Amino acid sequence: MAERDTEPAGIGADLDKVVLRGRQRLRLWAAKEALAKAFVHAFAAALVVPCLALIGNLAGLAGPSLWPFAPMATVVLAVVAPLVIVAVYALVVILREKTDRRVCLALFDTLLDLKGRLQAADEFVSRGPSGPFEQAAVEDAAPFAQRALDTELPAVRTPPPVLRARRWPLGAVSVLLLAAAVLLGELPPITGSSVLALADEGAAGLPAAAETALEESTEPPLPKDSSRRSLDGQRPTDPSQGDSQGESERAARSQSGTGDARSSSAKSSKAASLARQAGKAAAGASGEGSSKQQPPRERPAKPRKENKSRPEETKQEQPEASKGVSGGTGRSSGSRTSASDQAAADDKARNDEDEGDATDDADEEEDEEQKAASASKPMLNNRKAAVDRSLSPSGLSDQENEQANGRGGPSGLKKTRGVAAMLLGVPMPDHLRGKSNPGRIKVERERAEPEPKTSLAANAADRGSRRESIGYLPHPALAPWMQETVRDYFLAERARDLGDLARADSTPNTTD
Amino acid sequence: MTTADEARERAAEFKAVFARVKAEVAKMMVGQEHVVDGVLTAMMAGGHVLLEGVPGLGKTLLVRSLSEAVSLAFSRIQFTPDMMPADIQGTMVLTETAGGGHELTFQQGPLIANLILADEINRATPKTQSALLEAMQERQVTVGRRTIELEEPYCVMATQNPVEQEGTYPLPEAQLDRFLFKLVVGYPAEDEYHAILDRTTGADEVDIQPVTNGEEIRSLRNTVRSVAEPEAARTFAIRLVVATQPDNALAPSSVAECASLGSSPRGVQGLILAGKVQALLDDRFAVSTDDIRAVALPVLRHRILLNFRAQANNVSSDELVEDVLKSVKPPHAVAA
Repeated sequence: MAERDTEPAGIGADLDKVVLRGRQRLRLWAAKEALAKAFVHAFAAALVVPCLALIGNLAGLAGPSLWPFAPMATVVLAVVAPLVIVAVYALVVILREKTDRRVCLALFDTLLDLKGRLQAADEFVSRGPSGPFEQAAVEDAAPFAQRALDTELPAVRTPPPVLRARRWPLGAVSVLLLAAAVLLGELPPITGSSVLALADEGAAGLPAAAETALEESTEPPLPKDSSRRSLDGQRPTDPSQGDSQGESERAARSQSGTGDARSSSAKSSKAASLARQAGKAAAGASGEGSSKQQPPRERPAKPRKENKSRPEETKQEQPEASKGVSGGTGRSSGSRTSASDQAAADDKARNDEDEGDATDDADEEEDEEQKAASASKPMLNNRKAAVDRSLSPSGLSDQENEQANGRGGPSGLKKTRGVAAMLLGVPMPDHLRGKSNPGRIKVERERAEPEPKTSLAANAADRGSRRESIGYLPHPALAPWMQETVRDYFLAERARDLGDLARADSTPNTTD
Repeated sequence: MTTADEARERAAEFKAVFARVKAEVAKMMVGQEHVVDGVLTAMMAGGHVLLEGVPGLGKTLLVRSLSEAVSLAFSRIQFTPDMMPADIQGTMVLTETAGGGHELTFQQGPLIANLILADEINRATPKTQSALLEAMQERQVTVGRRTIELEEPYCVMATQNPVEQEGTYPLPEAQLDRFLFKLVVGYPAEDEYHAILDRTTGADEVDIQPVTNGEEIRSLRNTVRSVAEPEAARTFAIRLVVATQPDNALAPSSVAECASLGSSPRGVQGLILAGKVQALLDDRFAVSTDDIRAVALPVLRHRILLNFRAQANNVSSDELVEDVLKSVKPPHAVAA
């Protein structure tokens, strides 16, 4: 039993001290737990500054930079920001931690294996002990409260930081983003006019275009309409005229159903085709040697499509192209020498090659037509033959299911349905040989005459009368004294119900 | 003498009587300490006990020894399939009076005693088993128009064999719920067999002396009920009981899947009363969550009705109670 030398009045103060001690311990514990858990968010928090810096620097390529910090400051921010976020998260968790008084006492009950003595005593003290056992419980807890105050608590171990492997790539991504942001911040801003100038130069001279861009980077950006004109290589002399032309072009493009992005790609492809034609013309001008040394030509990806979608542009380009080709021919004819046969053979070979190109172009044209048709019938392009759903037994051949699309399975074994599907692809005949039933039943009939049978039934009158005693037969009715007893019993019970219990109990239900 | 001193004296007396009875029973009963403790705990808490075990493990011997040690009116009922309620409750019989007359008098059945051994209770029909319901819960027997108050302490200790299911009738849920404990009697340990042989095959006879009586047991029951119950222990007991109910949010997934019925409020009463006995035996004056946890298995295992899925998967109610104990945490608990 517990010691009794402790004053019960002092246990309230002891319990308060225990609660204070427990609360400090639990807060420290909660802080460490919160810091450990906050590391989960550190990787996500590390993405914030690099993302903002990258977005700001990307926006600064086309105009004034939105990211105001220098690269070194960006790196410092990227390192500090996760730490700040982790610290704020932990602080919020700690501030929201409300340690209950009973939890503080339960901590010592658990640590010292006190079987809830401190919690019970605190409850009884707070409401006032109402019985001897509650009073005894309070007194019993007093030495244990002192023991809780004197006991050195084990150190709160720092939990390992919660690191999830799924979040580790976020750290690498944040480093990459930070590097990209810093590199972008180092680049000078590129204005819109410089970009347009790059497109204007086209494939003819990329380094020159880069130089032009660098030169024009200091100039103020041009208006939009002028930049759009410069894509076509024509500078509008009159702004109003340029506006009207731009309006008509936009209208024509919208009628042809192409977007801005598509038209820009068309422009680039057009420039590529022009470059190719120019190269072809140059090859014609350089003669056979140069034509033989030419590497296989690289065709632009889809030039025909752009030509079909934009017929007026094709018409504008046609004279230039024909001019280039004819110019090449004129030069070749002008340079005809004694080796004209050889040149003619080379021309023939070149023509054959051009014919081959034309055949390829025709095939591509067919593809383009098919794709154009697929625009009006979107599912027509991907249409395939329906799955074979015949119920005939299959799978007897070793051929793979060519129409395997997930419905019938990769092989023909699973296509069959119904009873045949249960045979697991084992070839079986439709019916078994042999006797399927017992056959016809032979019925034979015989004629039999009825035969008379002698009866052994006796006459009832011949039985006679009983000669001996039948024995004891109990009468179904009770004996008279028994009937009297039962009747008296129930009468007595009824009398007792009527309230005459004393007389009914005193009167014996006896019969003589 | 202060009130606290009075409580200490009563608690000490309780522990002493408990130890004396246990020592007397231990003269005959070898091993099975947890079963003996459970039976005594149930008797001190005012509950009934269902002992389950294969034949030959000393279930009947235990109850018979206990009856000798406590000096109570003891009656044994051997349940059979042809037994009728009147056979255990009593009935009106015709008797002959001194004057040669006859009269109908009430002949008490074996149910009217202090300590009842209902041996092989599952061999009787549900009709006869139901005759125990009123006696176990309301401590009275009604036959016809006559109601007989049963004298306290009243304790039914029933045994059943879980193996021989042929010709037996499983106890209805209403009756199972009336048992405070269901104790599973297992095989004794190897070293206990020597003591069993010494006591049963030797020439010496074991003499069990009564060490307490009904009046003292009634007093000890009052002592048990006086033990303080803090809010934490009460809350924990309630949570344990509701966690056995499959539709409750506190129920673990295994209970939700495998139980069709959970414990009734009698389960909470049993947990608290049995927990109070545990607290007194542990020199404490208030029941704790550890006491509740210690008695949860015998109190709750027979109150969980398993469904077909549990039977098909061979899931026992003991496993469900273990799951409940794992899932339900005491209030204000901290992980040290």
